[in-house]
Amino acid sequence: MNQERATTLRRGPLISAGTLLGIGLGGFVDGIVFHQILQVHNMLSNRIPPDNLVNVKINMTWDGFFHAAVWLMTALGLYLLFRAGQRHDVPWSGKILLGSLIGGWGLFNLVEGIIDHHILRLHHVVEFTSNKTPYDLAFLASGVVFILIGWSLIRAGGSDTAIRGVGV
Amino acid sequence: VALSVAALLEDWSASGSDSALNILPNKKFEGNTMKIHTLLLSTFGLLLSSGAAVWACPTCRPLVKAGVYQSNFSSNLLVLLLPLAVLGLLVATVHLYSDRLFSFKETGE
Repeated sequence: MNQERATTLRRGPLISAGTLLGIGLGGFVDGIVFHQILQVHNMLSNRIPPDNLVNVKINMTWDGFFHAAVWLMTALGLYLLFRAGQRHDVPWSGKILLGSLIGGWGLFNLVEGIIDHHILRLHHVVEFTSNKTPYDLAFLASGVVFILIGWSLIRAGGSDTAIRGVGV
Repeated sequence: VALSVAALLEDWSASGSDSALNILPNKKFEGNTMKIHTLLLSTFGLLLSSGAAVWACPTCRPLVKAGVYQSNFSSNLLVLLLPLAVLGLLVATVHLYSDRLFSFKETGE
């Protein structure tokens, strides 16, 4: 009667989909909050200072390229999430998805911060100040905190074994 | 804009209205309503015509295109997308090795 059978569970597809979505949404937060609302930097604002209208528009164009790429990552994450939902070996865990989203956002802040702010110096979080380091370090710290929160949530979701549509 | 609004208000009060806020139903109601509409429309029009859009840069486009699509376009694009490429590799690693990374049990019932 009891027809339980061992199934090899794969959480990777859900984690990678959520992480990609988190990276994409993190990129949009960066663009919307820092580029547009606060206007404290642009993607190439340390290389092309936005000190006249033409340079402002050039920076806007490069921001557009970046956000187009971030949009593609978000779309890919959505596609992978849909694919994961169709699989019978992927546990459908809200904790894992939320943890992946937050972890993805943290990864974006950490990786983008290290590469763009510190290695390539394309821009800084707050470009128009004499002391840029505290803001750059706070951005990195936010990335580490988000990754730790995401990691904890994913680990907590490890006990979820129900696949999509079963027990959820 | 402020001068125009002041002139309209002066004209309005000079035309016989007891109070600038006198829009209670009476013989003068219709005339006052029209004056309010005229005032608002005039102010709106003046604000629009004095806005930054009028002074937007109509000749910037060739300069912007020249500034973006120049010899270092590819290198700029490469460095711009580098973090996303690294993130893509990290996601692929997570996808392949998540069970080991997060020490999950491999099987469920």
